[in-house]
Amino acid sequence: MIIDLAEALIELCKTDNHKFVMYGMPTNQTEWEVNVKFINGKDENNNALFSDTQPFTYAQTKTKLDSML
Amino acid sequence: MALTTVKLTAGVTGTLPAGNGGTGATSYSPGKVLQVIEDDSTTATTFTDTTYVDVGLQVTITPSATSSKILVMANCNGWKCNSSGGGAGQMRIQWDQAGGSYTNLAEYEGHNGYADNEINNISPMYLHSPNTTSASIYKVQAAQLNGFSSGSMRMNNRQADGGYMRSSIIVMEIAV
Repeated sequence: MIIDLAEALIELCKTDNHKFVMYGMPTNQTEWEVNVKFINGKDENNNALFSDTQPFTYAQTKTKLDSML
Repeated sequence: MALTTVKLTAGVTGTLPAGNGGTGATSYSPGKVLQVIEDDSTTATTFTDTTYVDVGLQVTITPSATSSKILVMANCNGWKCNSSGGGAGQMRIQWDQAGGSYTNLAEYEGHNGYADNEINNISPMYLHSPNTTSASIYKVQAAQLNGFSSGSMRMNNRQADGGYMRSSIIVMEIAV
């Protein structure tokens, strides 16, 4: 299995059971803020609702990834 | 008995009567494809929840007649589960007319293993009768299936060469 940034974020999210969707593989904080959405609920049609804040930064996740490689 | 051959491209004209196995019609438009629109993506979408998220497959089509049907075909490649027990994903096709709220047209499920060679392909299809000539949006969403909550699922998983798989959605307007 390939270890990548998403796998690192999954590990970070296990503590507080954060849920997320990640599009592509961000390479910096700017891309991170655009392409990683943390889910904090759902609407009546079971669409994900996204948080305005992010519990983890790109740098934190990259550090976690480097420790997993 | 002598065998006679007919050169169909040159020796036959006119319309074969219904009594002889033909349609009897001199023109035939039903079933004709009026337009085709496609969108694709090689962006991996990784999701960890049972709520639905967009996966980057969306098209807008404006039917030319209210009687037209819209054939929606999606080909979602590289479904991969990152959970040691495997897992299942769900997918749905949604439709929105002119900025209203989305309507669920159909939902699908697929089960995935954990190993790198247990990557699935889900290809939802739906024949829709939108009954409108207004612009219509069709899109694909995905989520983890209820009962599977650990780990993640991904569409457009990475290939061995480092690239990502391609998924697409195609809509066709069919005259009726």
